[in-house]
Amino acid sequence: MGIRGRIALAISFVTALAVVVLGVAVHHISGMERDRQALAYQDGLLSSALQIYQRDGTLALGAQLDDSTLPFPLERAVAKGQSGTYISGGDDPRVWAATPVGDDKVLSISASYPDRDPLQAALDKALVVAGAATVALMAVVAWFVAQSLSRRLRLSAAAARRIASGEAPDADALHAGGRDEVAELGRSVHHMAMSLAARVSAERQFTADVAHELRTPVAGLVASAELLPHPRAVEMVQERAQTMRALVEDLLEVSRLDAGVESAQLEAVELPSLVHGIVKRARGQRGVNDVAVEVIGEGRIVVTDARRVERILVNILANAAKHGRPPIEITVEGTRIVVRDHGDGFPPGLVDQGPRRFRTAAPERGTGHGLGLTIAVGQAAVLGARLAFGEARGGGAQAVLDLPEAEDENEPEQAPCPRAVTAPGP
Amino acid sequence: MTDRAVARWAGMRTVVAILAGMAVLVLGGVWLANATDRAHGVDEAPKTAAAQKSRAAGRESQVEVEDSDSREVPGVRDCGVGEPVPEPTIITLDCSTAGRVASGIQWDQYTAAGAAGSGVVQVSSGAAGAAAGKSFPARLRLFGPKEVDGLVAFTALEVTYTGATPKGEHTEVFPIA
Repeated sequence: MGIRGRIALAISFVTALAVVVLGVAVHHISGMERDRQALAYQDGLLSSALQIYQRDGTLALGAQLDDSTLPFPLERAVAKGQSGTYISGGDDPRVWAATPVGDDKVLSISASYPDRDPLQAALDKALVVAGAATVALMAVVAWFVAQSLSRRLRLSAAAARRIASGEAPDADALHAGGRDEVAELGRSVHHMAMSLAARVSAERQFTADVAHELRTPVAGLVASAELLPHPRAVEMVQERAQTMRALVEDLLEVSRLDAGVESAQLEAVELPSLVHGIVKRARGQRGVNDVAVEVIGEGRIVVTDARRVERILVNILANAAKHGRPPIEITVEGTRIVVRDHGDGFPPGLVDQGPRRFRTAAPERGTGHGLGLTIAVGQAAVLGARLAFGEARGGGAQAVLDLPEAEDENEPEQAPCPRAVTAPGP
Repeated sequence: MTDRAVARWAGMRTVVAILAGMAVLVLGGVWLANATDRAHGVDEAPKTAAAQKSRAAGRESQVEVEDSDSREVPGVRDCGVGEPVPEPTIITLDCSTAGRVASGIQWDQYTAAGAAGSGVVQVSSGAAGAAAGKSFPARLRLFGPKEVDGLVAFTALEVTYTGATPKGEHTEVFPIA
């Protein structure tokens, strides 16, 4: 139940409580007043009848002498010499008045006093109808009052959701006027989004700056290492320098993907042959070997950026070679490419939340810098493809790349004109 | 998990509060019902007690009043019984059933020619055709003094209801004495 329903229900419930308490009180008070009036009236009748009896000895106004049906409590009171009034219950409720008139005689007067008084019944009916109407009215009013509150909260939530999905903070949606709690919540969410966006932007800028600044000295380092005299030292320095250059290149790529300035150069390619070519080029590089490619069904022609597909596949293959165990199997089926190995599988955090920068599965440093899968995910986003990490049946890591279906796959001849697709933000 | 535990606890509290409210209502209703029953004890009858008291106090003085006044102004012989009483506070209207009585009469003027005052007509709940359970304020006028059995008494009473009427007639004239 939404906040709207809850507020309406709470207000209706409180109203119903108040109406019931009020109704019971009114019913009770009107009943008491009716009793009081009936008793006072009988008292008046009896006093007149008493005066006539004492003067003339006759019974007036329906008074009776020594009525045998006189209720016991009244009889006892009269025996003490008091005058009294009484309402008797039972099948035939009556209102009584009695007084002693000497010689142990009792003058009494009584009238039928039905439990269900039509006036009282009408009052009860009016109370029930008015109470129900009040509760219904309050429910409707509460619903509408809660509606505006609920609507503003929904607007704030929608604005927060848009920020979460990557849109720029919308000042209008969250900065709505008002000084109540809802407006304050909106302002807080807006401030939070602004400050988070500023921090993320600063971090991206930092990555880009670092990569850019490192690039030139590393290039110089690679070049000057070749001038070193000792062959073993040259080899070692060159190897470290190449690693460093790869890292810097990867960092630059990450920062470009972060900035969202990458765009795909689309062209029609036949997917199985593209994959075969990529595997052939990758074999031997970065420790990638023992890779089997299997094509299920007819080979499809897809419109995509072959260079980026290669980046993705090579990074996944390198990751599998580094952290998994051979054999590595690639299955191409339609527009889907599945890469699986026979190692221990991806760490659980990666499957749930996706790859994170500089987090590698290997505990020791030096086997990788943890940017490969991040880049693969970023490039897949540029292509509009979906890259999912999971566990293969029978153990081992499995990465699934779903390339988007070509819109005009029926006319591949018209596809070659390259189109640019701007990458969505990460 | 803690959130959910808190929510469940809050839900429990709401339910407990609702149940407590219901219990208070039910107990209040039962108590009220009992209180209504308790109200059916023997209550006082202040008017009757006052009539008893005035009778006891006036028993001696009545004789003196009759001695001194009855010779000069006419009295009222209620239903033709007894001696005429001057300035009566109560007069029976329907002598056959004694179902209607003018009571609590206060006389504004009481002369040998006539008398005027106000009182309340009471109707017995057994009186046929009359709206029972109500009192009817009325203006009363006595006229037609006549000598009856050696004493002067008024012979007619005109009742003019100032509010609701018991039988729909605004003015009624009753023969008395």
